[in-house]
Amino acid sequence: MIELRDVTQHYGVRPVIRSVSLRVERGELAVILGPNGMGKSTLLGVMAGVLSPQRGEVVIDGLVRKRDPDEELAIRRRCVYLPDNLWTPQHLTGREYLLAVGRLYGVDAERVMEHADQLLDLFDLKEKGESPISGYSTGQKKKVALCSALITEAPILLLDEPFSGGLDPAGLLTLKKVFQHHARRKNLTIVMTSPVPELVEEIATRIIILQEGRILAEGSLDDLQRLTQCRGSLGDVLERLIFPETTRKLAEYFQDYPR
Amino acid sequence: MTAAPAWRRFRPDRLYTRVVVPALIAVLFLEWLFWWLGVREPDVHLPGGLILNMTLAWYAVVRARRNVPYTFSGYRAWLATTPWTVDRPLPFGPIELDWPDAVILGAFIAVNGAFPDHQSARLLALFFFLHCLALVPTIRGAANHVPAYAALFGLGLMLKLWHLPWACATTGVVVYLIVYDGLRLTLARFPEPGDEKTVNDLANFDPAKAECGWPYERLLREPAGAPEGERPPAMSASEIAALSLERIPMHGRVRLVDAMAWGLLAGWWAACVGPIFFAGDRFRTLLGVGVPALAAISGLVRLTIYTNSYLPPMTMWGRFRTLRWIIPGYDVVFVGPALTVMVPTAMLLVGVWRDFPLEAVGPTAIAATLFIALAAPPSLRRWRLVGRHRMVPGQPGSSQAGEP
Repeated sequence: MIELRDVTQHYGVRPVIRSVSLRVERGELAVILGPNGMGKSTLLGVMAGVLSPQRGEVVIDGLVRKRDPDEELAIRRRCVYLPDNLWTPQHLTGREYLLAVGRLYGVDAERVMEHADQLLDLFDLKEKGESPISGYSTGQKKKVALCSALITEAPILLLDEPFSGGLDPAGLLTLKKVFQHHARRKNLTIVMTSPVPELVEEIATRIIILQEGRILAEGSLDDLQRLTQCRGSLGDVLERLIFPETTRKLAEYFQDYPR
Repeated sequence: MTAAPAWRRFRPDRLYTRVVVPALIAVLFLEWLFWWLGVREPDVHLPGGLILNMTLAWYAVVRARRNVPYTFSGYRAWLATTPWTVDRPLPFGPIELDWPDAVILGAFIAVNGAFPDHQSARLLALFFFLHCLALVPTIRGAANHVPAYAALFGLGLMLKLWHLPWACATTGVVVYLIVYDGLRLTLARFPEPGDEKTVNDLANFDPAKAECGWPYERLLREPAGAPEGERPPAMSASEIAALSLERIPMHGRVRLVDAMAWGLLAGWWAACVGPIFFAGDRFRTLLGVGVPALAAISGLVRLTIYTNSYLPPMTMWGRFRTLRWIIPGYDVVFVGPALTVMVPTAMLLVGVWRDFPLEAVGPTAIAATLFIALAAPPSLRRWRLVGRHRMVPGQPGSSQAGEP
């Protein structure tokens, strides 16, 4: 369970996240949506502990983030954070990298080797996994980074834009199915950001829409459809919520456009 | 956590296969070629020796950078989000020298055996010298000053003992142990001492009492009422991570102990390195001429740094006209440079007059030069904040006048 209590985060004077309170239950797959620059990555960074909010606190499975060193280490063992542009050791092979990350999170040696093979196979990296990461394409690097989060078998995954970064359609499909399975069957808590609603519409159990650093709306797709009185896709719902002006302007533009 | 089997750590890494192995093969080929052609002149071993030494130097430096979280900010930022602690091995390989390094060094020494009059200890000394030198900034950067300074003194001693290869190599091993201890201390503080401070600050932080305005990181009392300004550009998560980890306060203050250490190091290195390049009387002559020159340059550099954009409160003509020939609040800026020039020069003169060995007096004077230049009051921070000067607008230095 992840709980944010009245979190405010500044970089300078102006807050990027303003008094955000949020609760994500175990087994939920929560997606933070919103336009660029609205604080999605910042909110995830606060959850991940890479940022210290100026006000409020983050509680993960009953442990308060950055309150006590032992508590913080316990959180780090339970929680994996994957930034959108993860650093990877270029001189290691994909397999070596995964094994190292798995061992770091205390996964049993035999299990981690078996799981690394499965993940590399799943993401079509079986052959590439034996060569240094420096030779990988952008999409392959993204895949191996995602595998590194999955191999930890941590109960909480915090993923910044996991679907971006050059993933091929097979990779996107695999990732969707893996997330869906892990949340439903393995009771993993997954929080991710995404600027593209279509990619997460079918897997998200909770959608959090951010605007100007505040939560504009949250709930399941049904909840949001009810709120906006729109039975369309998540994209349509977002359009009503975030860009009502854009929709109106577009309609006016098309109406006035000469034949 | 189960450690990887030792043999698995020695895999065909690009570091070895693309540089070290071809270089060693090239050296062996050159030596074989000259032997096969029957060329026996001593000069023919020069290219091979050069390749061997340069490759070893490269390996020593690259190995020092590899696997060190402080070298790669991305690695550091990532590691700070994981449950890693110093009592566990680093996930992507050790920073300390491991047995694969011993194999590599052994290969260098074996190839070196192809040269007539080879000295294996010289190779070891070269490796330890460069490896430790490359690691010192990492240790010092993490505020572990004692091992860093101790290592620098040891490295100076290595240069002094350069003509005694085994003594030099043995010193290198001792210096490496000091550096290793420094690395362990550095990693034990991971992610940053500053981060602990942030956590403590956060615990004691009271928004109602927080100041607003300068410095910009301070909070508004009511963040929600922040003025609408230009939105900061969106940051990537890695930038966010780096921001969190690397916000180490820089006060631009030189501590007295640091100034003393740097001064002693300068003198020590001069005493160690000088005789290697300038033998006997040439070294003494160099000290006699070089020390006053160095003192003058140091004084000028200090004066330039202090007075750039910080002019006297009145012009020279104004001083004469108002009979205020000395303005203590401003003229104190000249005391440091004057001492920087006078003290070492006086030390040198007294040394010559009392017939002290110049090899000892000269480096001592160099140590004094750097110490005074760095530590003489007022400190740069104090000068810029409370000196009785006239700040010239638009100059680079003036914008830093209000730095805390």
